[in-house]
Amino acid sequence: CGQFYKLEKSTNWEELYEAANNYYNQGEYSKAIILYDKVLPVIRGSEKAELADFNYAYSHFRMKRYIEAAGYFNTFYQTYNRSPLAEEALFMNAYSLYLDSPDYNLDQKSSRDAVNAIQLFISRFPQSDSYERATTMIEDLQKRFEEKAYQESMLYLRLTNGLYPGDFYRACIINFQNFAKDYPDSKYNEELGFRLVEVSLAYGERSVFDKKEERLNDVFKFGEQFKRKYPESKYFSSVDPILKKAETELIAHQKLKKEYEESLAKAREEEENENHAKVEPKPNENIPDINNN
Amino acid sequence: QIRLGQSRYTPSKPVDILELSYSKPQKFRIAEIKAVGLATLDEVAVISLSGLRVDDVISVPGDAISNALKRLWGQGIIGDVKILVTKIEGEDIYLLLELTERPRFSRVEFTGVNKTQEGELKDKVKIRGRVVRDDVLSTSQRAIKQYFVDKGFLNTEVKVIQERDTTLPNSVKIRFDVDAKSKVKINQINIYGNEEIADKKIKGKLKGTKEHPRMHFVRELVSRITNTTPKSAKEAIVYRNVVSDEEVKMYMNKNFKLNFFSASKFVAKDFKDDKEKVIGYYNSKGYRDAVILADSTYRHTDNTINLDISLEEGVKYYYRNITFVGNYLHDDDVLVARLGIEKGEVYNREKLEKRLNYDPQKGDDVSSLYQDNGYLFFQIDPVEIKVLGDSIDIEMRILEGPQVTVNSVNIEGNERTSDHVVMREIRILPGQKFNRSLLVRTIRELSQLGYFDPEKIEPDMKPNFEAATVDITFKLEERPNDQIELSGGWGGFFGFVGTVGLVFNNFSIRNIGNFEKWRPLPVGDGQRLSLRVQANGRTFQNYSISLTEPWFGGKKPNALSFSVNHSVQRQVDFFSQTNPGREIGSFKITGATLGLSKRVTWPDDYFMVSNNLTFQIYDFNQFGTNFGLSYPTGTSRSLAFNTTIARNNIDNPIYPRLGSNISLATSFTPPYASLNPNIDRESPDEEKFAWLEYHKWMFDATFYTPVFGSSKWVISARTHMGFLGSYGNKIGIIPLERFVMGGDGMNFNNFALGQEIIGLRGYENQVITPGRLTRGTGAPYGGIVYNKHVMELRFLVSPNPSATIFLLGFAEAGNNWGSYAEFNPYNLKKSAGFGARIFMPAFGLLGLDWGYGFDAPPGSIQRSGAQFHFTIGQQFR
Repeated sequence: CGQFYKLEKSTNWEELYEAANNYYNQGEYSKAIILYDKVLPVIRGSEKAELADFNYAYSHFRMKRYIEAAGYFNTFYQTYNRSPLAEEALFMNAYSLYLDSPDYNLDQKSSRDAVNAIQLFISRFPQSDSYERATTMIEDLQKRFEEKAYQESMLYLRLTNGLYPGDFYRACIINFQNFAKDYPDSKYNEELGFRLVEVSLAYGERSVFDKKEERLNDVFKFGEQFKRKYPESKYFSSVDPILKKAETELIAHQKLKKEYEESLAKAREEEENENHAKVEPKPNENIPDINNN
Repeated sequence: QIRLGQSRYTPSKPVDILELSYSKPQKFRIAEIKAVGLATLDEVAVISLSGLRVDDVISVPGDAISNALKRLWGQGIIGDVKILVTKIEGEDIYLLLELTERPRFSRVEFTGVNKTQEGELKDKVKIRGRVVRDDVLSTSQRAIKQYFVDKGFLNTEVKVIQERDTTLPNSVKIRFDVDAKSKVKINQINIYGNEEIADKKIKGKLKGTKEHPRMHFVRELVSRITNTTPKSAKEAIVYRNVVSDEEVKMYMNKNFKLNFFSASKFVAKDFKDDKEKVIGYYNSKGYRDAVILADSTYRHTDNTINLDISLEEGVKYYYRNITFVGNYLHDDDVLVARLGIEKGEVYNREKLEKRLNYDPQKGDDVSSLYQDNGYLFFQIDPVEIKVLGDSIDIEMRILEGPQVTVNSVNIEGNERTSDHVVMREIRILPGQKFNRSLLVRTIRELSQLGYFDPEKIEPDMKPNFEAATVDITFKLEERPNDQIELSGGWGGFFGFVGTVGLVFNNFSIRNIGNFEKWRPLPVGDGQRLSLRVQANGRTFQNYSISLTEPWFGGKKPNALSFSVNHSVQRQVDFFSQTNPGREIGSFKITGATLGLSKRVTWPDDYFMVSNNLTFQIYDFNQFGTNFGLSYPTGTSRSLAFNTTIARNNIDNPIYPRLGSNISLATSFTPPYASLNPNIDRESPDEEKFAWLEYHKWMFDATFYTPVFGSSKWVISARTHMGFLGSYGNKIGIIPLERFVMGGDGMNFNNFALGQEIIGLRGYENQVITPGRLTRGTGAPYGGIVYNKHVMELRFLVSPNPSATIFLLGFAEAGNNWGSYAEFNPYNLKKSAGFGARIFMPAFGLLGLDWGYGFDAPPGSIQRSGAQFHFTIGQQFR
């Protein structure tokens, strides 16, 4: 430690450079970083700089400071793009970002950065030995995005049992369809497709009079869509009962609607007659109560 | 940059070996690259930096050469660079990099600055390793000077001293000698041209540019006396003219300036903002045309300057006709009513904008009429169509746009907190019509989670005009939210005195087993874990652990909480001759609570209902008589069911400006004694109070209202009351769980276990408690009914979330009665005073109050008088 303290004060750049490399080779990365910090600006442009820059980035990587490491690997690649180390630097840039990217349930900004970096690597070095690894990394990240979206859908579905069911049924309907658009190949599409049918019935059932018919019709639309797409599905047999229920509901609704229209027409007629007879119009009593929720 | 045959390696006569044409670039293979002009740099390294390599095929002219130049320049280590073509042989091209090396900065030093400043300056002046160039130097010099000027040191001088660095070839050490001089303060601000609005008002608007405090009164008086001649003295004595207000004001303005809290330094940037504020103020008073004609600063003394501002007020304008065009959905009448501006009112652009676009206080502006119903693209543009004398006709041009549906809602920036913890709080959902109020409410609720910086929550909206949809992304920035409370010391024979408290507000039980995800603890699921140990030596100790899951079951915001606590209070004889520190008696409470609280949507969704079940063991050891129990040693138990109904819609937990918080809490125990035929009024206390039997009612209400039309001044009115009762008359009201009143209201300072502590500033702790004077004789201790009312005027000094500071003045009154017969809500002990609060996320709320009690506490004939109170944490009652 005493020696390191002396080095920290030293202005002998040669000595510092040697010491930094030694610390790096011995695995004392935090000390190496401190010394490289001092020495790098001075040796820039000399033949020593290249290796020092590379080691500097690796020191950060070894210290698990992935964001910094990614930055330094990237600068290295930009600066020495013809170096034999450039390929490794670009891969390490992507790999650092990949390691830094968090679980699906956190912000995926660094994951998206990682995907971009990996794609850059793949297109720049398609012959690389690390190509396979890079593609698995991308697949892994894609799965993470998909999982994130799926969990979001599941959250909306769960919250339909909460305080504002109607709002969340509607949210589910939009969200599940968006999921299918964003991840057409996802294994979750089958489940979400079925849930969409379920949810749209629940939503239709609790809709206001005016919108009921339209929303119940959506149930048939989603149901047929599902049956066409997943004829082998384990949910397949559960779809028909839902459609059946929707149909019953729709027939009941149409009957009610017809009654309502008839009574409305009748009331109008009466009103007109009474108007002709110069009698006070009577308020309409025959309109059935409609449960608005 | 490619020049042909200009190098010493080629014949000096230009040879036409390459015809340059950008329309017809030619392809060449690099056959050779050489670099010349290097002193310390390495040829191979420099060529490698250029990105060019032998065998590369490049097009000339083309990107490769210019990129190489850019790369070499970008390193900042080369004085000049040219790329020359020395030879072309068929497809082969020979390149030469002609470089000029310049000395580089090897070390940067500062003198005349302190450590902190040096640290900050080093970040500003990043020139180590770069080439010595005059522009680099002067830029750095300017940056350093600006740094000090921004701090009010207007006369800062920065000298640059260069020296050869002997430890390295071709390099230069550089030293910046900084002489900041003393801070320049503003002596006086003179305002010219204002006729309608007083100097004082305008100076008040110059928030960042204040005059130096002055108290010239004495000097002025002395000079008057010394300059007195018999004649002037006589004049002064027989002076009978009426002194006008204006003259008094002038005199005061000249000789007094009480400004001890704000710095009077001059910062050009702040002054620029301030000038805009002055104009803004004029505009808000109808002076639409007000302008600042000129401003100047000039030297007064070495360290002070004077500041002159001359302005022109212009005419005061009024509204005449307000008309609307382009509104199809709502009638003019509806819009006028919303606008709330009438014909003849003073023309106030600021208010107009607010009423049209967004009124943060009420949220009922014209835009809300549309934007709460999906019309996201709604635009309203007030156009002055006619200005006649002092009257203005305005035409509101409206673009209603399509009704927009929300397509997706996302979050960004939650680096620690799980998606579902945030997403479940969001009120605006896919499929809904866009609704600004819901958006505002979501922002408010996200900020109330406490995990994110409230000032930085920002909804980012990506509308799709074609599909009439919008994607909303809430941008968040995490902030530390865990609280650590550490205070302590060694209190002589008390032993350890202090508190260790840890509150993790965003805990994750799920991740406890997964060490990989500890940062530095398992975080992200929004659970709350709090651990706390308090001790006041041997006399008082409290240990508690509680864990809360705010969304138990994940479907509804039903908070499940479980807590365990253990407290000990000991009476210790510190002054015993024979055995100092002997324990005279002790009292322990051990308890556990299981609770479930629910947010409900009826009557409105600010309501919350919580139920919990508490089991407690009260263990007395030579202590029971202090509470009026007939037995000194023994045990009581209680099992109570508590229900709280609360409504809370305050807008900010730290410094609420608007809203109210009302709660009614009740506790019931089963009627053990009433049902037990073996117990009657004459039974010994051991039997009567073996299981406590009581019901208790606590009511608390707090209201916040902004005043003086500013978001800094807030009035907070609170009222609290509590009642303790028994079922029937069989055993009377229990001697435990009673109210003790007075002082800071802090649990920790009161050593009052088994009691409800109510603060009352201006009085000593617990002083307003029935039975206090007869304590220990077996008489009951504590009140069974209390009332308290508080009025506070608060002023926000610093809204900074890392240290929110506010001042307050208060008047409060309360009393505590030992029986319902004595209860008289008009007989209250009154007090008034002032204080300050500081909130720091890591420590919670710290407060200091000075209060003056106007009444005498029970058992005293003297008024309570001045008292200081220090508090930690929120005091609810």
